[in-house]
Amino acid sequence: MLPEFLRTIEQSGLATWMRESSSLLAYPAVITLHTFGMALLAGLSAAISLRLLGVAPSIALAPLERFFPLIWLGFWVNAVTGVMLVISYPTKALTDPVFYVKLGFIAAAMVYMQLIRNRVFRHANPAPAANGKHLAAVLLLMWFGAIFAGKFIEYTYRNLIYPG
Amino acid sequence: MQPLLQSFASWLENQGFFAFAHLRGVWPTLEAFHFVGLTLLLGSVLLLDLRMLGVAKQLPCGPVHRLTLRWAFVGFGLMVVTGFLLMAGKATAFLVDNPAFYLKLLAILLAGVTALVFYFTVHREVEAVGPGQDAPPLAKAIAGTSLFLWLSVITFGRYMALS
Repeated sequence: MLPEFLRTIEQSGLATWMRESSSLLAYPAVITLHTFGMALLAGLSAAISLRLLGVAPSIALAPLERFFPLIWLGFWVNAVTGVMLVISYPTKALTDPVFYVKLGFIAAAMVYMQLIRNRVFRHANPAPAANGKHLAAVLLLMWFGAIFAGKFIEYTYRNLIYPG
Repeated sequence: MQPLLQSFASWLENQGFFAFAHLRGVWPTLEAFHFVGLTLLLGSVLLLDLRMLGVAKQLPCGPVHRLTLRWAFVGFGLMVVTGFLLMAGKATAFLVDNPAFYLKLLAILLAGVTALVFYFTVHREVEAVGPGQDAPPLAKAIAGTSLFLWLSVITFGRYMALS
């Protein structure tokens, strides 16, 4: 027996509109914005990680910090659109263990991103700290995991909508 | 045109080679690598285009361009290979009655043309743009166009998969 609140969310006005509207501004637009957010969040932090791992060492590190606000913008776009996607199919997401694996990867990625910002970019020494490479490698792995988990949710969920 | 596309799509789908895409776990893995490619491509393109538009102006453009060139190609290559396999596996759904698929191809083509325009015009000037300096106006226009087109590619890609 699944918790009743899943059905309550699923039958809310926003959820019904997201699922059933033929408007191109409903579900497709939200998932498109979710992908824009991914490009900002995972894309820019992957590019910075590649620099930390030794690609294009002639790029100075300090000015790269200017990209962190945009990375956070991507995070918030995806937090909002992600919540909207869960609201439209709450049973599908919240009863699938893979969804929580995805959230775990994202949480770890955000922790590592802040560690990179604090330990590498706010470091007095402009040269990368010794652990910059290690942090960047973990961050890339976390995004890889989040993307894989996100894709597998489409194939691992048990109930698309509340049964019965 | 429709019957021709349909027969081509059916022929593609009947190639035994592409059947592996439907084995358990293979389809989401191909999709995931398509999105890993997207992350590498868009991340590196954003880095260069945003710098040309004036974000993180203390970065010299030359080294940023070298990082972008290499990793955009890696990402794009990953997207072409996985994208072709995904298209072949569901050829009818993508090739027949799916305008978003062709709009996506068109947007990719235009993004490629934009990159060529960059290399035939302001590339040398941009290489020389140092810390704190503005990119030339044409470079800014190209950067804006490039961002718009890649975001269009994402948009059509999402609508294509849902229709």
